[in-house]
Amino acid sequence: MNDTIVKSITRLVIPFVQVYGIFIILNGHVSPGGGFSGGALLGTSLILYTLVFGAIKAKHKFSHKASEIAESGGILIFVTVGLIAIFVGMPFLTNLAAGFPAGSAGAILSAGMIPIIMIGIGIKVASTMITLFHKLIEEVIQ
Amino acid sequence: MISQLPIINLVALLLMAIMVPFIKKISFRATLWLGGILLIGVLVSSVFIFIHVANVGDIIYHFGDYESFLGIEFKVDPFASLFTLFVGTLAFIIYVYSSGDKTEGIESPEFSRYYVLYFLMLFAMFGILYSNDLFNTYVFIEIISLTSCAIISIKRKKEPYPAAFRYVLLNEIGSLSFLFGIAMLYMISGHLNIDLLANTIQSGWTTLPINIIFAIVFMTVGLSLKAAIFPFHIWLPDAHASAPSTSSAILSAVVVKIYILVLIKLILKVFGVELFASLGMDTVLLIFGGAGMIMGSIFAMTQKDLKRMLGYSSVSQIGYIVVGLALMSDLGLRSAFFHIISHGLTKAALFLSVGIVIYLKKSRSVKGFEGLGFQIPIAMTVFGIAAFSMIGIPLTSGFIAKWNLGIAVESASQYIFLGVIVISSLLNAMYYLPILFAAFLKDNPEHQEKVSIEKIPAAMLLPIVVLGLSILLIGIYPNLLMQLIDLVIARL
Amino acid sequence: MTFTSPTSKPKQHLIITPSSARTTTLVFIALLFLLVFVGAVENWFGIIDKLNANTQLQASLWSFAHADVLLMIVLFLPVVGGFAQLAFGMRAVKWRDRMVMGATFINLALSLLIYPNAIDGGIHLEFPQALGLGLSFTLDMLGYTMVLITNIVWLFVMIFTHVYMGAEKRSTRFYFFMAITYTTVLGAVMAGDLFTMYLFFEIMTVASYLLVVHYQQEDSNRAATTYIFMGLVGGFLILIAMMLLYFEVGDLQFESALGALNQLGAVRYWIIGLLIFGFGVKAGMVPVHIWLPKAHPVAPTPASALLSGIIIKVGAYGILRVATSYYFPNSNIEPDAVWLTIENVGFLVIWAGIITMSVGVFMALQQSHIKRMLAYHSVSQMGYIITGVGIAMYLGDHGAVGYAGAVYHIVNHALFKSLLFLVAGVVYHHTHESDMYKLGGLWKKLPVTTFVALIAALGISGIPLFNGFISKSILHHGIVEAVHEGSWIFTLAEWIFIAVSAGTVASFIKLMYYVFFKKTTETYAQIGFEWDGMNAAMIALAGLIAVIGLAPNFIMNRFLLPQIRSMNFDPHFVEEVLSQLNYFQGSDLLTMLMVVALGTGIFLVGKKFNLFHLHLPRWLSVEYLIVFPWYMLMYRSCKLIDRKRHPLDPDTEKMISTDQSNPTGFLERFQITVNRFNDRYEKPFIQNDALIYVGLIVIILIFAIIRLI
Repeated sequence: MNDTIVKSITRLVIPFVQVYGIFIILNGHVSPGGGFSGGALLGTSLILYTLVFGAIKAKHKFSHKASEIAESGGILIFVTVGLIAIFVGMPFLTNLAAGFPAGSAGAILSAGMIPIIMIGIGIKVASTMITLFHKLIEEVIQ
Repeated sequence: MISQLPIINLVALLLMAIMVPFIKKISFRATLWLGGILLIGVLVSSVFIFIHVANVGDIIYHFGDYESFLGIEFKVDPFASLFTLFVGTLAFIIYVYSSGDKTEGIESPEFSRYYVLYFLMLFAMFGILYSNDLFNTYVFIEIISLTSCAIISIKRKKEPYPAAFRYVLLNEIGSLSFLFGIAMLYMISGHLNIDLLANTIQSGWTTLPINIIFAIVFMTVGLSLKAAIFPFHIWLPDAHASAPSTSSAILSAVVVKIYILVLIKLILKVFGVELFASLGMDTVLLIFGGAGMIMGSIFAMTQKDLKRMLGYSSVSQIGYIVVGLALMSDLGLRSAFFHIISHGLTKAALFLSVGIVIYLKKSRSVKGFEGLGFQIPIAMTVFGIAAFSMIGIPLTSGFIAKWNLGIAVESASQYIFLGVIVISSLLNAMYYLPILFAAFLKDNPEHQEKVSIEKIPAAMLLPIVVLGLSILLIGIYPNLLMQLIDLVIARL
Repeated sequence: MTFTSPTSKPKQHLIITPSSARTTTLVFIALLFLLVFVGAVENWFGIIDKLNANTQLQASLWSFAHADVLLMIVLFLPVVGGFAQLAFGMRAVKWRDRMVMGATFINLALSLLIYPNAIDGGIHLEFPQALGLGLSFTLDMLGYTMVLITNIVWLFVMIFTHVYMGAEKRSTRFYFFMAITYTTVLGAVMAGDLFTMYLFFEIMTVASYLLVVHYQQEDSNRAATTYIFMGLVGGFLILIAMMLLYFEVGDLQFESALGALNQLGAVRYWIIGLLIFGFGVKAGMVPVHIWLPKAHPVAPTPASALLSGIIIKVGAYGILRVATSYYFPNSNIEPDAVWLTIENVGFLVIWAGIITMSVGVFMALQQSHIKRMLAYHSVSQMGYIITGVGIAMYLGDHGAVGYAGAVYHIVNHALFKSLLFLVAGVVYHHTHESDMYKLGGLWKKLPVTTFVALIAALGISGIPLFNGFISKSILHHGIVEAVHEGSWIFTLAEWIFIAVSAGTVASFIKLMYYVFFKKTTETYAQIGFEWDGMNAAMIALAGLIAVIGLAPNFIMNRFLLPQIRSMNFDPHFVEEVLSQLNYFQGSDLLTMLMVVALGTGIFLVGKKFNLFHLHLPRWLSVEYLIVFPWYMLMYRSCKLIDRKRHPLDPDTEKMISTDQSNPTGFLERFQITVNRFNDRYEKPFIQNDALIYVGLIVIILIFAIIRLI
């Protein structure tokens, strides 16, 4: 889009959307939300960027390489957390019994491994949404 | 430590799938080697798991250390460990073959994706077999659907798209039917764990029988749809037609059997044989199986494309397995398990040797086999052994499978199936023998008389030879396998 | 073996090359071994007594001869030899042929050594773990007779093949599959239970397919396809019977299963019926004999000789074995009622045999192609053997007559039929002509061949002093016994028996006259007489035919009677009728005289009135009668399927029409029908996937809900 107003507003709004998304991700164990919805928000923010500024610029912002790292990284975080539990001797993905700090209910750093997993999921979901959108766009542009 | 092995297998496969895009940047060969070593490791650990489970007892594994009714449970009993061993072995053999198959239309950027999909599919198959939770099974089933769809349409041509689309659509209908069944069962019992669910089925039957009927019917039909049982086999030939040989091999030899194994798990562990039979579902499965045995071969006789022919042949053989299952007896189950393994080996051998033929001749027609027996003797010999196994000549594993099925059928007094088995074997002969005749007994247009060992990479030849030898080995000494199967059934 | 060009002068002198001298010596040594064997068995010059006196020699010899290992060596030596000669291949043809002949010779020698074992109560070997059910091998005198005759005939045919095929294209492959067929034949006759026999039977079908298809021409491809499909059908019939038997009785060993079988009801008739038809396909029983006359003319001569001489006997052996093992009682004190099952079946088998022999000889008289005529004669002679088996079944505990006649005729037919095929091969080799009406006057050029052909013809016609007479008299006695003990209807069978024998005589007079003795204008100047291994082998076989004819008691007393005594036939009957049998009784000789007269009469009448060229209308052949309904069905369904949108195009219509002149075979028509079905129904099936899903779910749901209520 070539409209200046839309571009300026978008440039202002996107960071806020992203911060909100991160907030939801991080607060997954405390309030409604979590990795999936927060990741969706993050993804949407970049989709908004693509819609306004065009696919080529968006490709620079979030390249194929970045999506590779993001997707694999997300799963790696998840699996690593689970494996920690195995190293301790408990079954896979054990939470409190494997020694993750429980913290107090309601605080950010509580509920053991869940925040870490949520971050991983959030990154992955965001990346998936953006990649899918870019793929669809690619067909149209080419 | 042993009890952690199943999950280590799964995690290793998943990690391998993730790491492929990264390692390929170093060198593609490194990925292949790493994948191979990993698969060997998974195989070895499967053997250990099997020995442990057979001698000591089932491995029960709770994710996150939650109770059964709260969390996901893995239960590794002899059934699961035998078949993960089977899946792992075949996957390894096909993997070795695929590492040599450089020109089957998969372009180089696709290679890494192919292996990512391959390992993900393997991960999901192991997961289904280990899992003791219905919804977890569903998730893994979905993973297999998507990855197998991608793996068959990985060539970037236009023609596979309608076939792949139909494939994914029908598979999704199947998965959704399965999900619907899960929902119905959850409604009566409130549990998703198979053991806990089985306890409540009886009481559920008295209170809400309609739910259970809907659940059984939808789940059976859904799984039949995905397992290519007769009237629902429609996607299989199209899926094979334009897939690379290794994908066809793993699809027909392994993936389809996984769904039958899920069905077996359902019938035996969740619903129970009496309930299933009292609804007449075993008759339904018998009819489908018998019809599939004959119609599959009839459709196969008329195909011009080699892979479609082999696809319909698979439908026919799956009919055998379903008949064995539908007899609802120990003997029937025994013959069904044996045939699952025997057909897996045979079909993989067929698809892989056909892959070599296509590699050489660049054409998939049924007609072009003249004189091939002399150009690629090893591949055609293995093809011959596998074809004889399909027809049921003694000394091959296919004969033992038919024999066992015949005995099982008699013990359930369904004598008509003896005739069906024979007619189906004759029909099999009618389309496999002409290929063998043309390959070995007709002169090829170039009049090449000398027998020469083909110039095919060893990575493609070795797996085929191993498969051929194992078909013969199991044909001559089936007791090696039968003892394991009897153990599995005793503990099921 | 050289073939001189037409322009050179005919050879005047007898030429013996070094290689022919070697092969002749080999034949001679083989005959010598047989002579020594007979001498040892008959205790000429007290050899055995001297051996027994020398205890040390006896002990070592005895332990060697008693080794079970010997049996396995005899069984597997051919396969080893087959692979070994593959290694020599076409590069060292002489060594390859020597390997083949040597291996066969050693096999014969070793099998001669097994005699003391076999007569002592038989050998029994088991491999419990193989193939799920375990393999077992049993050698009693019946099996040993079959092994011995197989080895003898095979040796001479191999010597013949060495000269006949020489270094022909693909001869290595021929020898290889010949070796595999040899092992599987031996395995089938040594089998101790039905499962082992089935294993070897199936592999024999596949291996002998490759012998029939050797020349890879269009006609041999088609005949061989018919052969292998009918062979597979027969095999599957046996498989069903075997599965039923295993399930009902539990054990497939060749022992009496009457205890379990008598409680079964109709299933026991199904089992024996399926077995008879299954083995009957291989044995050339009418109505499933169809492949025989197609396969023999197109196969190479040695393959036809062995196919007719040995392989079809395995079929008859199968029927004999299953009938007399499973359905015969364990001891002979059982009441008569227990024989009832097998007697009922035996009645039908006798008639099947009678029909087979008549159809065979009638069709043989109509043929002009030498090999096809011999093939129909094989069908006819197998009819004799099947009749003998039927008599063995029908007469119950008096069935020893039929049993002896059948087995004796197996031995005799192996000898003279293989010899006849070898003669046909020699004739073709020299003249490149297979039509007997176009030949003639060969006795001058090929005297040895004429001589042995004459002996073989006398043998098969059943002339006294030759071996056929012996077995045919025994069979005749059997039918007469059936008339006495059974119903009068067997008098009809006896007349047909005599008529068929006369027909056989006529047919061979015809053969000898037209091929060898007729005066003809062609001088065949280019044929020279050379002595080679082929002649030696043929003379050896002819010699055996004559010797057995002159001294029939050897086989009867040393081979057949021990077997019969070990079975549960009525001992009084056996002693009275069989062991005192005077082969040269007046009544038998007179009957034979009558047969010869009748046969000559048929020949002269037929020649005068040109009756030998009856071309029966196509619809009268057995094959057509069986397949016609199916052709009709396929034609109608092809027309019906997709009638409106894609009516049958003229080419396809021609191919599938039910006109009698349409040569399209059963398999091709089936393919066309199925193709049409597929074209019509496959696409809609695929396109209506969702509909199928929904429809079937609804139906199954209704079905289940109804079951609930």
